[in-house]
Amino acid sequence: MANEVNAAAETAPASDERTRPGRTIVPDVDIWEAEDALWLRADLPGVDEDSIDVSLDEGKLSIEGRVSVEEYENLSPVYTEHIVGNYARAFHLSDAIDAGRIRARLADGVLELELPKAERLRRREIPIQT
Amino acid sequence: MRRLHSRSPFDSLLRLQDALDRAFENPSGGFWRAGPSGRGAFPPLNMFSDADGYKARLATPGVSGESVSIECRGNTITVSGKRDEDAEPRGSVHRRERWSGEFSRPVQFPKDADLSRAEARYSRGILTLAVPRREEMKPRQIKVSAAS
Repeated sequence: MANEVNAAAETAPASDERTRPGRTIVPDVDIWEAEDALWLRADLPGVDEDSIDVSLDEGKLSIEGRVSVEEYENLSPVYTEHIVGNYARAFHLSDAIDAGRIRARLADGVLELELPKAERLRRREIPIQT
Repeated sequence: MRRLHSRSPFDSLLRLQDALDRAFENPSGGFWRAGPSGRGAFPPLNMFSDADGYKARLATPGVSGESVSIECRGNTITVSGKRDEDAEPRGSVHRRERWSGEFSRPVQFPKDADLSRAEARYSRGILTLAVPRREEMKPRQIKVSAAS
């Protein structure tokens, strides 16, 4: 039962040429599969609702988030551990996802996606007739 | 790295990444390559300065401002908290990359920082600790008076 959706084969970042300048950061994600849906959570610190794009195109789920750099204007780095930049990551979903019912939520820099499985793939108990 | 200076909305992002790269000597190499934002202690820290003082930015996505405790001692501010305590995924896990657990991260500020006036702000998953410089440590201009 598990992994039946074979959910998210990741598309290599290099396979998509980017025309926008700047380094793109691959966000950390958690993906898990529940009975009736696939769930995805991604860390996108610095991104708000107006600067995030989630799209599903021919089975390719793309997540893109832009950070606002105004908050960094006129600041010079003293000590740094992580690069600030726009986020992008893409996954191939099997067609077993009901694209029309995908739900997305962004709070405190974490994106949560609920990807419901298509009806025909849900587990069904078949009653035995006597 | 030399770059043509055109006015585009990405200029500021490029300048910022460039500056971070120089400060960081980023080992992941290629400027254009996609890569993780970094691995190490959680939450990752970037410290900036301007004429007024210092801004320490900790990336703590999913940790709401109320759930962290911020303690100040000497020249160090310690941020502690917990992430995703109730987010234990139900079902089968396909990927688990996000950091979770309890954290406690001391952030040491330079000597001229006045921690008695420190302020903290949380927005979009980033905690900013703003600490002004001590007044007497701020740079000031000295006028040359004409010799008589």
